[in-house]
Amino acid sequence: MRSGNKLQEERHPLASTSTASGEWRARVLPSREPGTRQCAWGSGSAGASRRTRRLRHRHVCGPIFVAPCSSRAFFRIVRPAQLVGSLLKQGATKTRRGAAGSNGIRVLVFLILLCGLLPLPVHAFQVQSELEPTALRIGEAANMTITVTGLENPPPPDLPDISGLRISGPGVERSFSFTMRNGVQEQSRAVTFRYRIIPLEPGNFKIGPFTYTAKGQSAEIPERELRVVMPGAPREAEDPAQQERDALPDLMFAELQVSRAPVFVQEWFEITLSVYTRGLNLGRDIYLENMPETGLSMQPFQELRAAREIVGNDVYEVRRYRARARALRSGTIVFEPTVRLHVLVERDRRERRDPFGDFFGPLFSNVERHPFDLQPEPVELAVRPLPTEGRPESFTGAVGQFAFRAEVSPKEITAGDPITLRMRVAGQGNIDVVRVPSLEEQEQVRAYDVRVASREVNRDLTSGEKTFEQIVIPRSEEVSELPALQFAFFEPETETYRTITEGPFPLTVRPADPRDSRVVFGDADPERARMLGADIAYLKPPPRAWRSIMDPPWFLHPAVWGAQLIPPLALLAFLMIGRHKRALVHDPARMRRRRAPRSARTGLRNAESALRKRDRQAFYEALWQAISSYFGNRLNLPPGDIEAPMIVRALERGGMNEDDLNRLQRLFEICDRQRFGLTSPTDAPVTDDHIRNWSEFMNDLNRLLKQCERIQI
Amino acid sequence: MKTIRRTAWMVVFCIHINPVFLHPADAHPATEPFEKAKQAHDEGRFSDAIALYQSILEQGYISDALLFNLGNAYYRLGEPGRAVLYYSRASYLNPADPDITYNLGFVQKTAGALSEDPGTYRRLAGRFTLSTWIGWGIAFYWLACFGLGWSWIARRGAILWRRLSLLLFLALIVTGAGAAHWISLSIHPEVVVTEKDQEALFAPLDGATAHFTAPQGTVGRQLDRRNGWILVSVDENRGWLKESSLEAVYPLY
Repeated sequence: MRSGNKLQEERHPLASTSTASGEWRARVLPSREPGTRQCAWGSGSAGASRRTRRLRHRHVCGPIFVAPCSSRAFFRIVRPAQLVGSLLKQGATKTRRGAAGSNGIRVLVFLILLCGLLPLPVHAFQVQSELEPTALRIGEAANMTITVTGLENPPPPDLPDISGLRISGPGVERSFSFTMRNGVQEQSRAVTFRYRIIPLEPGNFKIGPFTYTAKGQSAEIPERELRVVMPGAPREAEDPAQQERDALPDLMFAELQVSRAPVFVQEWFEITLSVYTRGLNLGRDIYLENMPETGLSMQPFQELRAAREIVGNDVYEVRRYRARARALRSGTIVFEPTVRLHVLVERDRRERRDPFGDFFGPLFSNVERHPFDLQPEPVELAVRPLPTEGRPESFTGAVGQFAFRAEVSPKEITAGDPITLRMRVAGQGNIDVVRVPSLEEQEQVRAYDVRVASREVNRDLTSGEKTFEQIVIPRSEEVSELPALQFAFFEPETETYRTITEGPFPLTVRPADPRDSRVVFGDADPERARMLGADIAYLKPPPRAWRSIMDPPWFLHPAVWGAQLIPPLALLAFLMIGRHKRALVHDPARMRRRRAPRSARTGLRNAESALRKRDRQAFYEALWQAISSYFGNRLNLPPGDIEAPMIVRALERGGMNEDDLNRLQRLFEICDRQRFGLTSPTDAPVTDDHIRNWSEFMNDLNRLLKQCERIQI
Repeated sequence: MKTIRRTAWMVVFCIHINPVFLHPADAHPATEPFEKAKQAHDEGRFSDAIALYQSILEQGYISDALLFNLGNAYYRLGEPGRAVLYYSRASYLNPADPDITYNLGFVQKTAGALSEDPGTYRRLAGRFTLSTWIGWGIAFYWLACFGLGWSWIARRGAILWRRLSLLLFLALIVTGAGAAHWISLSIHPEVVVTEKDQEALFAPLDGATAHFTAPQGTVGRQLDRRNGWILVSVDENRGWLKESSLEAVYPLY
């Protein structure tokens, strides 16, 4: 059943059996309005709830649409065409009544939903059966499942009594699924009957065939065979190979088979590897070594469904792997591979006495992997060359079954215009290497190479579709057709060549109009301005600068490489400067020490300036400024703490000679006297002797400060 | 008057130091055969034009215009494979030229040639030459280093400078990726099918199974080379083609 927000649809039970054409069935009654019909249950009393009515429809009505329409009858069951007609008519009526808006939207919504529901397909009634496993030992049980698809509430099948088997059940499972196919939602329901089969005695048992009948239909359930052996019974050798195999203490062996022999070159065939094991637990990975390396194109092996088989009165677990292969040359190919697998053995717990083993063991690996190599019986495959007799000239190596179509477009052109010849090859075989015929260059037709336009080949390269395109250009209007194309391939089943011919392809080629090359100026009719053709861009003028091939590129010049050292060196310099600046910020004493000579020089410059102006007061102030700023910075002293005795003591500790210390002390005293007016009046005239003395003071101070720079205080 | 005289001297000086003016086009030894080749092309003597263009190449001079015109001449002569070859070489010298890109695509389409989808990375990296990538890389490298260094000593905006230098280093990585594309082209160069009706084989042996056809002008990547055969990757297909039917397009820096 399918349901939507407003629309519901239900299929009649008979629809899946007798109505393959999908005929709609409904129990309908004449409607109150002309042109529609109304369902007997849908037009129930006004007091009945909407939900109740909907549920009734679900159980009674066939494939119908239920649509809310008016206040008098909420649901109306009509055929799809009738519904459309009714809705349109209603819309028209309402429009005349002046309710066009709401009705129009409703009609539109219904039509959209209707379009989504119309293409519902009708499923056939299907029955599938499966027996798993098909080989048993006494004491084991098999499951037989019978799945009925497309019927609602199908009755359980009656399995016949079989002597030697005890069949119990069935258990019933129901499933319901939605699938999208070509944009259409499909629903399917299935009921699975599960039977448990317990063998009571050894032997070969056949279950079925029998007929399953439900709701007037019947389906055949094919025969299934179950082989049962007694555990530990002697083996029944049926053929020499079996005898030889039985002689081995074979808990496992491998077999290699090819699907058909001989095969033709380029013909696909299947290689199946079967690994039989009994009572062993195999690792997941199995490796196949020593397969032929040349003359064969092989796809990767795919694992098939695991099965059980009885070999020599023993039940084996069988793992099968299948690969598709194609011979590339004729001759005999011998398959004698080695199968490497791992047998998993549970680790003995007594061996794991160490505490870490006990701790990590269960977390990681509780089993040991023991590698084993199996040697299947070698298989020789005869590869036949493709027959030369009857080989068409157009044959290009396609082997398999193919369809070939070719078409040209456009068919009406002007001479010089390109035509696309599109060729499509689809089928099964060596589709990946298939080539198509091509038109040869002719005097009147220019032909370019064929190119692959699209390629859709399945993963194992055995089937698919390829589209090729070839551009051809008729050079004159005399070309009336393109010649026919022949595609030939070899069919291995019938061992014959087949040829498919497409064409010839009639063309209408108009002569080229010389007026098409006119230049269209601005006042031309815009409708006549059109693309007249395509061609390559014209030649370029000579370049302004030529390059010499012999010149190395600029970035290989040693100077360029050498210059690249500058940024890291600069980075290094920046790094050092930055570190130094940060160090100064965090160490004021060091910063003041570095500032001391500069500050002294400033003071001396001021003193020199005052000397030239013969300004006594300013001279001694500047001299004091030089002395105090230097020693204040040098000894990291606040301005008020600068005193001659302390500085002299510090210099004495630094190793300054006594004479220089005396001179410095004298300078301090002179500055103090002049600054604080302890000597001659400051307004006394400055003579040349004064100037000489001051100059001497300055030189003395300069020399002493330099001396101080050299000693460690 | 003094100003005019000074300006005149500057103009004369610039003309003399500028290589463009130093060797004007009409004075270059390659220009005369170039013009003759153009004339031969216009008169329909495409073989003569090709010979003249080739003579310039033999002299050791090259330019994207020369390779472009050579491609045009080969196309007019009906050799789309060689036309594609020279257009490809021209595009290596000047990837931004729209004429070269157009002609290359036009000829490949007309000839039905296959070409590999370069992918976003190769398409972007191929928009600039190796010289351009390296030039930008060096500029970003210098700026990033100085930006980082300045961030260590700047009193203000250190974080901004550091972020800027980080961006510049990222740009440097991008230019490195662009340059890597051209270096990979030197190792696995592009090859152009120059002969007609070539078939790529599954093995480098005469008589091996054909894998796909490679029309003239098909451009692929060279993956391997063995005994006169080249393994070419074209449009997700791989096949061996004879070396004589192919021409490699090596980057010219």
